[in-house]
Amino acid sequence: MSEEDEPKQPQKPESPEAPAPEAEEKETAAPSEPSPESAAPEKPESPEAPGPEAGEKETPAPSEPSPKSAAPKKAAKPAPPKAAKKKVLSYEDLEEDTLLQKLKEKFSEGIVSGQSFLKQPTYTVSVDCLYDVMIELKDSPDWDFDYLIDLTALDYLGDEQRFCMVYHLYSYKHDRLIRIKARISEEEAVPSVTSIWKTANWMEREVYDMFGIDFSGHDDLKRILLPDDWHGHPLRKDYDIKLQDQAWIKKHLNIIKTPA
Amino acid sequence: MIEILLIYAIIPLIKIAVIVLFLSGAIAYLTLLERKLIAHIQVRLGPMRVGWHGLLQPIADGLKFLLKEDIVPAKADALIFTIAPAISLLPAFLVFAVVPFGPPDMLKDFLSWILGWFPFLNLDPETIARIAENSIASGGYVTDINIAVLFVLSVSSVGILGIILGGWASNSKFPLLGALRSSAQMVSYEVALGFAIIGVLLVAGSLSLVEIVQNQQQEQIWYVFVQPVAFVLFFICGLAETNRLPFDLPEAETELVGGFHTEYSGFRFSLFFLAEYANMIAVSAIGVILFLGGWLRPFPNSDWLSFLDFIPGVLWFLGKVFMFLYIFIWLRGTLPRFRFDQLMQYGWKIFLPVALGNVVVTAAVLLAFL
Amino acid sequence: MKTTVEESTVLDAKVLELNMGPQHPSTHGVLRVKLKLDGERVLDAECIIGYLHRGVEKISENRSYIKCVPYYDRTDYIAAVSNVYGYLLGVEAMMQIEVPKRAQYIRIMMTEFSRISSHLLWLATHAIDIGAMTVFLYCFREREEILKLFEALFGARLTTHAFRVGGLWKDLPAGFEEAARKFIDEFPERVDEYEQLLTKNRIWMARTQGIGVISGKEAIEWGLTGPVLRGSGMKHDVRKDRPYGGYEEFDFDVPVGENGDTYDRYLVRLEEMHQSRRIIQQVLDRLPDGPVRGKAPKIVKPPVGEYYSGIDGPRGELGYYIVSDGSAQPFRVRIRPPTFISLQVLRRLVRGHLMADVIAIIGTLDIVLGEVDR
Repeated sequence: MSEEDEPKQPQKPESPEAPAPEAEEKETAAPSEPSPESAAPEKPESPEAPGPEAGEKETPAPSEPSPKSAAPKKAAKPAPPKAAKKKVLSYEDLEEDTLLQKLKEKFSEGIVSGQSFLKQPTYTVSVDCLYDVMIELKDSPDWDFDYLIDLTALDYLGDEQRFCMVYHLYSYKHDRLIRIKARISEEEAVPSVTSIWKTANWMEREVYDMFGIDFSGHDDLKRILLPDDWHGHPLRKDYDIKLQDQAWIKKHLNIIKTPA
Repeated sequence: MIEILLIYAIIPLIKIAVIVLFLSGAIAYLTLLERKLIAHIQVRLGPMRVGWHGLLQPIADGLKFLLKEDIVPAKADALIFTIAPAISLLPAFLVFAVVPFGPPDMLKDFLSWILGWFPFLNLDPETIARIAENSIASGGYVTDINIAVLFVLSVSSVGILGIILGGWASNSKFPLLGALRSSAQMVSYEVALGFAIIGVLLVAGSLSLVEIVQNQQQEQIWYVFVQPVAFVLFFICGLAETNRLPFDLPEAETELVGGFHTEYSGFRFSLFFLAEYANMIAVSAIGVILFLGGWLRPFPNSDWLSFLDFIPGVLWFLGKVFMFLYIFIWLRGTLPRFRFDQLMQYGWKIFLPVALGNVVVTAAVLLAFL
Repeated sequence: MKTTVEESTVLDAKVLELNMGPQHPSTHGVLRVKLKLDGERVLDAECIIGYLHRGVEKISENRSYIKCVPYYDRTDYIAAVSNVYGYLLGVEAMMQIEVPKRAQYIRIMMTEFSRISSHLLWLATHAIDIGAMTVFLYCFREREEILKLFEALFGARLTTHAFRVGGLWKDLPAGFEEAARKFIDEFPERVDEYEQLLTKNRIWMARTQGIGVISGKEAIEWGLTGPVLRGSGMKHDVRKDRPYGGYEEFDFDVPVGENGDTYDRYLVRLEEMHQSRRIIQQVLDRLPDGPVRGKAPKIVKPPVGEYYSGIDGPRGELGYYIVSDGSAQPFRVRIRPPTFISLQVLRRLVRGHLMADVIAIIGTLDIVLGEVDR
């Protein structure tokens, strides 16, 4: 495991929204009863997720990094039920998802895709209508996502649309957890959702701090965890783990250190 | 000549020296007592290392304070910063000039015995007897003045000045807030305290602390039974006056990081520290004299308790003071702290009116029945 | 949210800017609050955080899934057990690892112990902030017992590295169950002791009632979770709403407050300790036999995907959003820190209160700076 200690090279992962989700699974007894942990409590509209579609072979993505080693293929063995239920997880397209349909009706082009992984639905929307989608999700009594659990970003270095905003929403009323994603390029600004959920304030500041993503409409956008005059955004994939703002350190702490 | 010198200068000076020394020791060991008591309230042991059960801890503490670097913050007003602790400490000691530890003839036997041991004084027995008879020399106090209560009140308010000056001269924000709190708190509680005392004064008919005790002896009752309301008020206001929990807002470590003495360290800090404990003892002593019969045993003059008379008055006095102090410490181990505005509200809206009412009722009763 | 501060003071005096922290006894670590004061009344407060930032999320991206775990011990170091629990639930879900029943039960028990110990530490510091110093040491007395249990099972008291992928490191040591039972038998009496000192204490009530009031609706808008949300009368608990790890098998109530003030939050947390005790009692009564470690691969390589696993930590919803790119290192682990999110409401809560209340409100939010700054 020694190689894991080295700083990881920024690499392009499979972006989840890639049109062809890696459905590279072993065929198993279909709607398997998952283990208690994976029984994600939030039940989206499609509990029978795998369904007939997932059973069919889809073309595997060409640049498959082979997650097989993770999930031992024991399906062949007949006896132990635990092993038989194991299958390689993958993204599944959302079927008969009312939320997805309603959103598509309302925003048509703006909704890029709807997928689910481990029964946690993800809706990818375009950044242009992100704000309106959020307002719809919060205010419409059908959805009533009154609680913004989390707001963060992912850095897919090398993609044209480099960053991906991730919002986790939860509706106390309907007991439902969804994930909203929006891809943006490096120059683009994301509409701030602080006017919808007050809790987004610091989280957006943190994303700004860590990724350098700009939020339009946020009225106090400044660094939060790092010093105000720090250079660089640490959670970007091209920011090496050993990298430090040497100029800042020299100026404020008066420590002169040669980088290793 | 030698007689006058003895009565008015030498013996009082010795008494002062004894009291100051005794008081310093008492303060030092009061800190140990507090640490020990609080520790046992909180199921721990407290200081155990220095001496048997930490008995030498106060000395170690004192040495540490003395040996520490003397820091005056660069932006502080150095002169005021330096003298403020002394301003705070002196009045606390000054109060004991009028505190009677025992009856006016407490030292009579002792004086007539000890003076015979100084042949170079050439005193004949009559002179010795005269000196021993004189209450200025033989009283269990430094001096007995007829405005002692006023003296105590006025002197103790000077102590606040030290805190205010210390907080202000530190030129720092937390001490400033502490100093402001302290001035507001002490001023408002002193009013209620004063009125609470007036109730006793009305009953006693004297401002001399010695006479107040003697009156309690004559009436065969401690004034706490005559003036219970005033006693409670006095006790609470006394807590506030000495900045003890639940009224320790000027210090309030968890809010003001120590309040007025944030910037103080070493010896100067220890002076503030001593002042607080000296004040505690002073308030307890005054409380004991006004309400608990000073050096008198319970139910003075009643014969069925006369078997208690073998205990000298000064021990009764010290015992009662100890009880007071014990309650002070006990409260610190029990109660949370008030908030500043609540403190002021209690002071002005509850304690002051009650104290005033107490004065009025006492006066009316005295007028009507006596 | 920048709001213009009412700069006018009562006496037309200058506004006093006071720096509370990062070295201040009551900011629970290295929180710095810039207060604007009119006398002692707070006009505005700005939190400045990050003094303890260690880049845990960045470190996670450069470690294997298993090697991340000890770092999460050090985010919320007061309740390290819960942190690891939340993360491992996520990893196990993505890996589809089944955790044996016994391990699940023990995990729940230890998490609840950690909740009790965290609440005890909260009560201790909250009380001493308000001036009741005896409660502080009483709470530490009980917490010590829990830490001893931790040490017996995990080998460490604070940064426990409690659980492993697929279950536990090892089974309960001999005598553990008896010690745990002894603790929970004595515990209610001990809590009663604190209650005697505080609950009906007039000063305590005066200091906490009506301080830092927030309505339930607003609390949700601010993303508050855990006891802070429940103190405002919202009966939400991740353990009930989205049960995880086997919590649905246990009986417990979710205590709620009424007024959403500091006093109610205090009562809620006290009651939560009792409820945790109930859960532990049930675990001990029904603890099944069996292995404590499921079949877990040596190298954890979840498939490409993402998972959000939220648990109800002692301070609120503690979430781990794990994104995997199929390699042995997480593509991203985002920790949803409950106190980072609840700390931002401080500004809203302290306005108009006095300086002493700032202390009480910081205390009632129950922040841990290790988690706020990560």
